[in-house]
Amino acid sequence: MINNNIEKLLHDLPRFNRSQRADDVFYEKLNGFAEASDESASFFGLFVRRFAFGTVALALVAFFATATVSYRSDVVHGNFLYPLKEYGERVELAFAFSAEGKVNAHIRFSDRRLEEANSIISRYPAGMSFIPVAVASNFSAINLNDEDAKNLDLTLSDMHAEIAAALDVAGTSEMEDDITEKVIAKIETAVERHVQALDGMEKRTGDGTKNIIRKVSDGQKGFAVKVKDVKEKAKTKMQERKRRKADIELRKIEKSEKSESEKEEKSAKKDEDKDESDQRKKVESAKRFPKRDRANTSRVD
Amino acid sequence: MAEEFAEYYEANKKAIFNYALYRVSFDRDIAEDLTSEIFLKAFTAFKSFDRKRSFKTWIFTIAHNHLINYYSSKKTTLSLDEAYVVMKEEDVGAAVDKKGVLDKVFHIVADLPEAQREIVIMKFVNDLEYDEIASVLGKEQGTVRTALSRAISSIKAKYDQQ
Repeated sequence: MINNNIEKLLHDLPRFNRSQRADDVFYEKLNGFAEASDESASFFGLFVRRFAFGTVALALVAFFATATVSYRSDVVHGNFLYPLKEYGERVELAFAFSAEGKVNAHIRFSDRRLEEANSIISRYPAGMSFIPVAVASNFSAINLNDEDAKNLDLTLSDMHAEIAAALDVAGTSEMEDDITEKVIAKIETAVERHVQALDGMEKRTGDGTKNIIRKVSDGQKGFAVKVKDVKEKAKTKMQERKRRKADIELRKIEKSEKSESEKEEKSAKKDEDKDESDQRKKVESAKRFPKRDRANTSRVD
Repeated sequence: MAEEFAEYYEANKKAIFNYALYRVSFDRDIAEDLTSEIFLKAFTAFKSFDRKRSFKTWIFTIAHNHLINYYSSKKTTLSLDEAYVVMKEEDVGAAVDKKGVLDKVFHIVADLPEAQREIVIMKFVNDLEYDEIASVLGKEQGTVRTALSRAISSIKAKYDQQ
């Protein structure tokens, strides 16, 4: 009978109730989940999750586009994209691992500052261009407003600072002689280029702006002295290196000669010792076997 | 959404708790925790739950998957006496009258191979239909019927031996 009712017995197996405490804990957790779920279901969260790939791609495109745009010369001090440009240059510099690379980067940045300065000035009409320069007086010259004058001052100061930084790298870094010469030549060319451009700018501008430009131009001309100084130092360094090299070579030769003569001396001494020992052996032999030896020898012969 | 889910929870919590309890050798604390985990897991996926489907089958599928990794490490069983100790008065009900007989059946069920035990629990403790069990386990109804039939034969045989 029990066998027939086994399924009924299985149905009668005890069922247990979940505790109230477990229920309470569960509801607490459920509320937490529900709140978190509500927050992530907000429109922005939903948008970001649903279009995550597109959003990332869009952000990257926007970033690179903005970074590229920020490198234009008309993005100058005061422009909202300018900090991005500065940040980009810091990254460029961080990736210039050699001293030559760093000098090149600083020269490149200084050229950019020059272009920016040109860009600031070019915003203003060039005056009455039909009036010959000799005749044209201050009324046709470009006079910047205060803000642009301030930005021009900052830009040209930065240009000056970049060349100073390039010179500093060239003067303090250990480089091959030919590379040192090459980077100093590059700095010299850049300074010449800048002075020339600044002179041109000065001619186009009015008194207030002229002063800003002249200050930097004089500073650039002052670089000639510094370049000469760096050149001298580099030359001294080169000579020092050559001298040290020659010293090392000389020491090597001396060492090799010394070891050669020592070897010869040793060899001569060895020969002498050998002769001496042979002589001694002969004498001793003669003492031990004076006549019999000779007799034996003549018999054999 | 949370209110709707709470209704489902109230309707199914006892079934899932018992399913977990029988599967984890009557360790009440673990069964309580597992029940919470199963329902919270279900809640996170509740948006995608097709309302045309049976919630019971859906929650049992989640519970089945959740317990797959858990069961093997908890093989030991408590005695029915110990299990009764943790029960509340209202749980015991008619079971107390047949305690001696049920005790035997309980131990036989506890010693069944896991696959058979799960089907027996779903069928007799959780009162799931064959099609529901088949859906939860991802098997054919015929396979479930055969497995259950074998399990019952095995229980009968062991019961007679004792």
